[in-house]
Amino acid sequence: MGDGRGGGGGSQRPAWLQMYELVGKIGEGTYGLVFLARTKNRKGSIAIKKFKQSKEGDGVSPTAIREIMLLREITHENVVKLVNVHINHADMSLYLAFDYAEHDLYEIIRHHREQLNLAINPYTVKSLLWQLLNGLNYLHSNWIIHRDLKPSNILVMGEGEEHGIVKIADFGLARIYQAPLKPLYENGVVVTIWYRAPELLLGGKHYTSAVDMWAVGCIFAELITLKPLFQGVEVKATPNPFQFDQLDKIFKVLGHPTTEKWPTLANLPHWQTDQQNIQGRKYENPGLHNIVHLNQKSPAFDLLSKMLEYDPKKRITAAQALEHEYFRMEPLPGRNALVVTQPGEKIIAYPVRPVDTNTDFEGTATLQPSQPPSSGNGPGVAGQQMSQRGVPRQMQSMVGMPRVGPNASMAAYNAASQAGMANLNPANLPMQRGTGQQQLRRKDQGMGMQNQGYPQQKRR
Amino acid sequence: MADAHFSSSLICQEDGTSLEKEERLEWDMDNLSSFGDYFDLSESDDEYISLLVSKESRFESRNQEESSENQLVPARTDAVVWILKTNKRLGFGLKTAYTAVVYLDRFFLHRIIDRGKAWAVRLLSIACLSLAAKMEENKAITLTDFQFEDYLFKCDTIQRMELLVLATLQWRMIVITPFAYLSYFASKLHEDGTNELIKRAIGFIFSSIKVISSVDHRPSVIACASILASSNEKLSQQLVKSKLSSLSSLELLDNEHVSSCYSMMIQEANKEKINYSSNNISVSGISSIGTSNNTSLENPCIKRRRLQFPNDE
Repeated sequence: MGDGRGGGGGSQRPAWLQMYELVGKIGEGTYGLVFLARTKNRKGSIAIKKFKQSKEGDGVSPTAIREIMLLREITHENVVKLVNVHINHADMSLYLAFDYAEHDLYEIIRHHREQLNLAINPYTVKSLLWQLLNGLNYLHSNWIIHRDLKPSNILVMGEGEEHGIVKIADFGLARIYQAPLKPLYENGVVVTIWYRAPELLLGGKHYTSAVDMWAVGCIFAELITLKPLFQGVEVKATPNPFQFDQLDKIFKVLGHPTTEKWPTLANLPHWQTDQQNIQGRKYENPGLHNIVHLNQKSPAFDLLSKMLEYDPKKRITAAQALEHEYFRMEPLPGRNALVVTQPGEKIIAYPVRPVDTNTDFEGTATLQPSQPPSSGNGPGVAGQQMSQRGVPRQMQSMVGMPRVGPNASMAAYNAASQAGMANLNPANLPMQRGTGQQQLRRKDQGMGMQNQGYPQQKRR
Repeated sequence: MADAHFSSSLICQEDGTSLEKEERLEWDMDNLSSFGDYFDLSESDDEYISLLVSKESRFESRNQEESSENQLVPARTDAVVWILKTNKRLGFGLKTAYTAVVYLDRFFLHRIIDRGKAWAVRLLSIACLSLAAKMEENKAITLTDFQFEDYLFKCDTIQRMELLVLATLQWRMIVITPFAYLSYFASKLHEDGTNELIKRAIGFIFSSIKVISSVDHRPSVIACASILASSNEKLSQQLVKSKLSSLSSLELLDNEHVSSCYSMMIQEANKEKINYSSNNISVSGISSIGTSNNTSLENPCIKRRRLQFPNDE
């Protein structure tokens, strides 16, 4: 971690860090850590994702490069917004600053299941699903496959300007595919198994954007029932073991796949090698409608079963799904998925994300050992405490970072100020294209998959 | 002993860059498998190609007024040569090499390296190639792969340079290469748009990579010019124009640019022919498949070159 470069003793915090007041840690995963912070020069909260150090000698992690480069190219209301990229020069770690989203589908579903014991309002389900599909349609038409859609990666904005708006997040596994309809060779672990498409479970190596649509189908069902649709037990082994239990769970609900309905099934590795296991078993009649408690003739059920189509070639696309009848009937989907303004509906106060305030931006040190547990602390409270405590020593020890005014430093990706390697670049050519790029990006929005308007949206 | 030593050091000075190019002649052919995707784009991909062309405008380029041959950064040549050579040595695909050169060009759009700082140019070349490999290659790479020869940079130093490149390019690392267009243009501009034609076109692209900067010429323009160049007929500017008029679906393709790119490619190829015939290998002429100068493969110098690289089999 901090390598002590800079000789210590510097009380100067790096310029980029001065923009933020750390609130606390809100997440942790294989990728690294996520912190909640506030910006000093503008309203609103920021989620800061710190990438784990890459292995010594590997240089900048390819995962980080891919995620950042994809996020740099995409601008859409239903995709999380990357606000800034910071390089911490002391240890060369990377910090991504995103607009903060208070909620995610995992927590929303859990709140309904465990606290309220109440189904999610149909308007909310439909709005969440529509926005998820809207964001996904944008990604797919820009040839990006997410590959790891699951409830915890689908964020929803808390109170404020964008209240109740869905944001697809976590592009760590996302890939851009080279050409439309040209499948991508799988080169690693993809998609948490509960949301993993059958073609992947059966060992398919080439796959398409249809894997994301399968995951959306699973999430749709989970929004309705508050339970994961296919809760298989994962076989933990490397690399990519055969997940029979997951397939078994799927077959029990959807019935056995057949080569008549799914012609390329016979080509999938596990279909052939694990014949006994897979093809030998008999499964009862399909019972999806019994599990999701939907009328088989309802548009909702029709859409769901088209998302859970076995053959990826026949599976409904995001663009087609947005046109589905389900979204044209009452209640119509809306921009604020969380607030139902129909009479008699009460507004649900979803819990705020728990914040671990006993942490610093390294995610290691304990700053306030005497502080009581953070549960129930609003971010504001914790934030005040944080700002008084200052920053950990490792952060203070950095030198050579040019100081940047607060406004200038929010200009995203200002390489000249962030690079901190001016000695390599005596001429230090200024970045000239900042404004031009802004224009280009705005143009892209129109060029890309544009926000289709909400279907016959009414004032809500 | 003294003789042997003398001759090898002589070759080392004399061959400069040209022999490295000859080595490339072989791998151009060998590595075509990495272009699998590009050989089966059919005409039905009109829509895809149009979309691709429209996306080119997202990427950085130099203003037309600014751009000219003379403005190529002097350090660029050394860097490009090193990238191509090392790309081959590490067994990376052609697209990786091309992507690395694009990163290099984009970097030079924003920053310059002082004359005489050869180490900085090398460090930059390493960073561009390692980043390109991370984007394009499936196998894992470590920075120690790049530690050989004259400069020994610490991994930390290379990583810092990677970060400088990423920040300078504002993390916009997606590259559209000319290769994506080749089979499309081959099928549009030639009735016999064969793989041979595409191979020759790839030869033209790499043989002119030292004079054609990726920030001055769009990938679609380079691709189109390379296909025109790889047909063996000599095209006047007029003829180029009439050929291009058949590509009605691509309004964004600038005829003037294609013409000038085409001329540069032919020029480079001709330089080469002269160089070979006069046996003047010190001039940095670049061989290309398109010139069908296959005899150069038997140039004895190549064998001598190999002696200097024991790890090159």
